[in-house]
Amino acid sequence: MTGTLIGSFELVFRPSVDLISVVRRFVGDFYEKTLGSDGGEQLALATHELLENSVKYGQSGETKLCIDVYREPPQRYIAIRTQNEANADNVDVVRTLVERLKSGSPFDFYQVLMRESLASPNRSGLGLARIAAEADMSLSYAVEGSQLTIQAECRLPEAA
Amino acid sequence: MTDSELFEGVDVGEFHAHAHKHEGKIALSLKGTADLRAQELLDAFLKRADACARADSSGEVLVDVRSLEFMNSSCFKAFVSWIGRLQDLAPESQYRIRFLSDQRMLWQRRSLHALSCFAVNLVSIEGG
Repeated sequence: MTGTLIGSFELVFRPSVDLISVVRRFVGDFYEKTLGSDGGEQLALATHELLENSVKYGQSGETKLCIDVYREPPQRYIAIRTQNEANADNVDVVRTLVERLKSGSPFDFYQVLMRESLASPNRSGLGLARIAAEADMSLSYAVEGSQLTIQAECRLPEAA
Repeated sequence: MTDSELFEGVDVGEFHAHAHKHEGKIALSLKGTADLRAQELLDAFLKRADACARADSSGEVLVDVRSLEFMNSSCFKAFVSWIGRLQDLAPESQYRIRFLSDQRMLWQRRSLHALSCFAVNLVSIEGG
């Protein structure tokens, strides 16, 4: 990363359903302060979906949330990461989803997942796909031992 | 449930959903934050709305989300499932869903657009 770090924080907590909305509003304010008014909503949406993914599919309940905002004129680079313990099945689901997302248009894939979700009452993958299709962020993942890290990143123009 | 409500609404966490008649049509009003706490109740609420709409002859359901600050993907899926059930009906039994939205909210612009693309002939969006 060649830019200048202008905002960063890490939060290690046991996210509950109640807490996620609190964190979404908090990071929405954080993004507004570090980015200006543009982009805060889409980044808050991505943060919310990443945290819900951790709550629903994490194994230990403990999640680390990291957010970095870099200045890279004329853009800002934003990376949001969640890290939590995950079993092999969950890693496989994330791996497959990220690979399918990279194979074409995120919006078209989102439409396909919406159709597929009608036949799968349980896990649909819509939350992660939404980050790509609605928040315009790229998704990647890394596995280290039993720890799964999912990262959403994007570049936004600097506020005028 | 109040006298003016068509069927049982939802009040859970920061989420509220109620159904009324508006100008002869079924009108759903959603407010607050629709997250994991609301998912199952919203799904059941939309099933009640579907049953009510099938028995109604107005041919359209209004869904006012202008005061809905945020909706997560699980609640979004409840709408996808509702539309999927609607698509399974014979064409003469289908009705339209018209969203009243606030286009200043990103999630409303993006999520409702995705729903309208999912069911072009059944879903429309109005927004200021």
